[in-house]
Amino acid sequence: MDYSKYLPLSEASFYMLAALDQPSHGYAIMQKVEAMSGGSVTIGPGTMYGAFNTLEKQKLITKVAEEERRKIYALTDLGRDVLAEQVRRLEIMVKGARAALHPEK
Amino acid sequence: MVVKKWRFFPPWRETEQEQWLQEMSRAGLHVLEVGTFGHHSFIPGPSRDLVYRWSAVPSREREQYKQLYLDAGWEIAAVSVGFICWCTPAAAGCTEVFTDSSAKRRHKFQLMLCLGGVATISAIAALPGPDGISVFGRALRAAAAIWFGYAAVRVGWQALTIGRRA
Repeated sequence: MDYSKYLPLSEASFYMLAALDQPSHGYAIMQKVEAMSGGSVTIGPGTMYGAFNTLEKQKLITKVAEEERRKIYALTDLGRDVLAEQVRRLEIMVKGARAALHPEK
Repeated sequence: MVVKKWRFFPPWRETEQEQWLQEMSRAGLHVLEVGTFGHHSFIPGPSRDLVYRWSAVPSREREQYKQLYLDAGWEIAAVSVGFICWCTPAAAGCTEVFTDSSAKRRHKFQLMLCLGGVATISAIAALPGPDGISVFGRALRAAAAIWFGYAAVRVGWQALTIGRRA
């Protein structure tokens, strides 16, 4: 399948999809992203809200529940595939960059 | 006791207004209300170092939008025509509501659309018609249309110049 229309994912979208290994609401995802990135990436609520709308429209995530004004999202099969494709591309990029930076190794 | 101050910040100087509100908080004045043309109301209190950030209120799912900000440690400081001014302690982990360029651009475009809408309505209201409005009244509306239109262009230009990825 051609995932090019979804890629490359923005940093925020990438981390949000990666954080949805289990259905979660927005703030839980924000905390998970910060933990996953070792504190180097934080997603603000404005960015999170906009990204949710975009990812939901693209059918990469779907709302599975709602609790006390918090929407709980889960990754769709398409979202999982797109994330996997992004990871595959990043691995190729990192491998190529490492070879360029350390050509003798 | 409410303290009123007048300081006008054009829409393209949103960051300056946010910094000024932070200075006011450090001085013990916490914003309560923000009017359209520079009117600010403050409530005196202890000095606090608070960061302020504006955000457009979405047309749908407003409660979920607000809950997300509240969960992230932000509080509503003031509300002004379709926008909320949020605040959080400056020592908090994340003091930005828009942490990437696309979200910042989207915020600016929302502000631009709001200003453009007001400009359009003002321009239509300034048109000659059998509504009994005086020439002076029409001139005021035309001036408002020009000013809001100019503001929309300035904010739109800010949106376009926010960093884009290569």
